[in-house]
Amino acid sequence: MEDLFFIAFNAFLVQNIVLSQYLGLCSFFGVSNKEKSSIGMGLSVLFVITLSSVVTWAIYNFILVPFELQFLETITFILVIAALVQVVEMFIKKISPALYRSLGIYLPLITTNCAVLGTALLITTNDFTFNQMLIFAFATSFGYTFIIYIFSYIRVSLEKYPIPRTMRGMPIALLTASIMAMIMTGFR
Amino acid sequence: MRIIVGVLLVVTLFAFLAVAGYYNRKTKQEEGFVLKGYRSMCKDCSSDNCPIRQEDYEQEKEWILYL
Repeated sequence: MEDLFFIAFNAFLVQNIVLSQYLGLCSFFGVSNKEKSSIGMGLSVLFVITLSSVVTWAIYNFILVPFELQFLETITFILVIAALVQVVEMFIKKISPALYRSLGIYLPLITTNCAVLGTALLITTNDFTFNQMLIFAFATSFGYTFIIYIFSYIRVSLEKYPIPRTMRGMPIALLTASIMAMIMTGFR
Repeated sequence: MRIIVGVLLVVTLFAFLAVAGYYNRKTKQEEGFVLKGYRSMCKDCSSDNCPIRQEDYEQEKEWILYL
């Protein structure tokens, strides 16, 4: 139990996928200009990471390792993630068309979100059991959702302040993200 | 044996991706459905006759420039 808590805390905060491992930065900067979009993106990534981790863990441990096919792990994982994103896209379109429109191009781009593939590869590298994998995947994706929401809140709040013209938009966002990343090093 | 399993695994996953992609594309082709920043309609229209909202139109233009 203590072990699972340690894995969850580590994945959520100490080794945060965005601010400590610098994965998934494209969508982190692209979608974080509105709070609603960031929550939608975070939840989509949470769903895809958790589901893809379960599927890739099962494929790795029950097919790739017994048949000594570990060299196929990257292509297998990419195919699983790409197929899951297609399913999630259809699912979100049916459930919430408004969210689907607000996510725009970023939803299909979850396929190329390195945070998803990175999590799947980290799970196989660390040789996690099923429970550990589930906790790790959920905590990692929840960490992504949490950080992207905090970041979008900061970006929206910053729009109210008189920031010099040259610093508006992406420059101040990059500065804010770098300060947040520096804060994260304090947990190590 | 292991090579056959490997090939079967990759082919199965490709087939799954193709089927999911086919149905996904089919839903996008439904009449009257426009997705911002994706399958852009703005190549054929201007801001005056754009069927989507002004801010979305601006975002579309940004994406066309970006892509």
